[in-house]
Amino acid sequence: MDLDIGIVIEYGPLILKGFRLTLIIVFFAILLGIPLGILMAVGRMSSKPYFRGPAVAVLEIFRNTPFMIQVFLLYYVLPFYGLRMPAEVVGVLALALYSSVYYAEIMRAGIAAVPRGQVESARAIGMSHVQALRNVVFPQMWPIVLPPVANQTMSLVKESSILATITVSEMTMSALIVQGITFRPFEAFIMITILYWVLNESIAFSVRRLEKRLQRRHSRQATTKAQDAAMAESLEAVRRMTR
Amino acid sequence: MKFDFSYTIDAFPWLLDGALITIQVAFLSFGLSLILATVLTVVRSLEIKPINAVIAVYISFIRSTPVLIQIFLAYYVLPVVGIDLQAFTAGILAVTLNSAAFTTEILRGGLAAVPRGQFEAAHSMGLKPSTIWLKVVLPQAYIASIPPLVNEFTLVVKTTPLLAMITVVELMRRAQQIFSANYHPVEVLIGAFTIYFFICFVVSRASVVLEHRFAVRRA
Amino acid sequence: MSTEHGSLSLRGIEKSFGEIQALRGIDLDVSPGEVVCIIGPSGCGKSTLLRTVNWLEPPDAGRVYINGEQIGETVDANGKTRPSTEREINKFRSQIGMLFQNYNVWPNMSVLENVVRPQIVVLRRSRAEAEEIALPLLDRVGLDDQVDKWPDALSGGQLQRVAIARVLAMDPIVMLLDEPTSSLDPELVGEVLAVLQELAKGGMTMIIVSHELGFAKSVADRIIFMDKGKIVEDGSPEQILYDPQSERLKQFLDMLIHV
Repeated sequence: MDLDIGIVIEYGPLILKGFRLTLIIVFFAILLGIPLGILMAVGRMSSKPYFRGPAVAVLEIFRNTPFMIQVFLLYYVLPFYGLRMPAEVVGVLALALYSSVYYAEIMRAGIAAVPRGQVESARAIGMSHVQALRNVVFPQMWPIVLPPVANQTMSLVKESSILATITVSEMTMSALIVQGITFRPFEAFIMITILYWVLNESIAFSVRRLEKRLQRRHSRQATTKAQDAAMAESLEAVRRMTR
Repeated sequence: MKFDFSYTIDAFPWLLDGALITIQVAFLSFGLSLILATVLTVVRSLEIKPINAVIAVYISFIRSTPVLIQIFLAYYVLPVVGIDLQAFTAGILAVTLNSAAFTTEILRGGLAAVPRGQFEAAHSMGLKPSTIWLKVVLPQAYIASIPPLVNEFTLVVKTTPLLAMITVVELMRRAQQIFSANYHPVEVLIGAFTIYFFICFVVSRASVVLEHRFAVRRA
Repeated sequence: MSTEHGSLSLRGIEKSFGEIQALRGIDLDVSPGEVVCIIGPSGCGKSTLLRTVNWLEPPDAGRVYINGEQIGETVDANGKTRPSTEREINKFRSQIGMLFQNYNVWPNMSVLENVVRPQIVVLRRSRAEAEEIALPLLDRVGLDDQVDKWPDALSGGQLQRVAIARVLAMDPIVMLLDEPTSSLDPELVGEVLAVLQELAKGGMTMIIVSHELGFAKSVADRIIFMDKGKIVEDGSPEQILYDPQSERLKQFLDMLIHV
């Protein structure tokens, strides 16, 4: 086992290009995934069956199938509907849809963590459900929801590697390319292994610090023990669901 | 109608063949992972600092890197250091090691749910540590962990399609073989999609049954 | 600030939660400007009754009339009755001011914003208009120097007064108060009661659920005693407090005195 530094130097830039694309893809997937997740969370909580039904169906479908096959299906299905998009865009869409399921659970827990009286006073004063969510619930929800959302980002970074299977030139694909050119898998994969590890550990580290800081602010607000426990349980459930 | 689902139906027997491999891989990996995780959990409880540090690094590595990369490392990089594994074996190795890291953390939670008094009572009754672990502590830890463990099994199932990338002919690979021959990727993939959904759905329902059977109280 | 105070009528209100029947047929009339205090043991349904008025808990049966108009059911163009839409109900709600035991001031907004935002969002007033209405109200409840503070810096009594200003900014014709002082430390109760007293004297129609018998005596025109989902006695404060007719009321008053 010998590490050829020459390969690292020569193909490092290619790997970094892949790294950059990974970051961009994850960024846009989050941007798309969070609103989708909120939509599904609200749909799932709705009292009207024609909102709740589809929301639950979509959630169950995405939760019970591997990401890889979701990606493949999306990649092959879209052209039939006239949508010829670059693989990167399909990748972002697939990642966003997949992650929206987890964001939905996070948002649902976040909404539930806001004390009921807050919504009641908003509705009692004449606000519609949507107005209450926008003016009272969501602003209070963000600090609660931020750590699990940041955690979910780690999962997205890892799942993005699967996009290599539909030829997206993100980090894993670039390693495969380097391996293909140099026939030296060791250097190629070690480089991206280190990059993934460092990236995710930094996110994990930031999340821990964020959680500590928010804990201090949270203790000043009036939530009941039961609400805190319910919130913690939901977040645990999300943590378990994701890899 | 753009799609001809007779292709889906025709593909089914072959897909089910692949699904069988998927299930074999899942059970084998999960089983091995459970054993490994149990060992690691017991070892961790001994609180030997250097060993715990190694375990921590292992878990951090598994959790911070994509499974696909771990699979590639097992199949493409191990040969470089002299360990040449067949695709199936490499796949099992990677998935097992991956699942074991998460399962260890799950068991840590399950262990915490076992009342401290159990250890002490068993100890004062003069039982050997191995007996205490095997007969008293671990069973309770497992039962307390049933929901997350079943969930972990689902995740293992959802990891298996990645093995298609190292030529293991499980369900995903089968589907790819079929549609690269008949040029109807959507119909074939929908078939595979449905099978995956069915497997995961059944497993998560089984979780409910198991929970009732063992009367698990959610913490 | 409108001085049109409203009347309230309840007919045959029933409400159950699963197997538990919280309200078993309530009939009540409140005239404009009247202050009615509802007392009773916990679980008697007084809070639930309040919440059916603004349809926070829609009753299972019965009708609610505010100023003669029915809330919860609408008669459409063909003369048929149907359940009201959310929007129709919200129009009533903005005219019914509700105060809660734990104030429910919104922590993500400043004191001023709490009073201004509902005006903008629900009544569609401009921000300038809303602030013009909010500031004198905050002054009236004694919070003129707290206008830019945030809720986490205020005491319970101050928070309840923010809630009062918030409700008043909507020009309510009826006010529903659900144990407005029960969460407050004793020293802070007085400042809130003073504001409520002023409102009552100003002619606001109020229904107050409260334990504060002293307050009831000084401000209420009527006291209603409820028990197990029904109105048991209804009379002037003197009658209810000094000349209780029913056994249950006598027991209840006994218990309160000895606590």
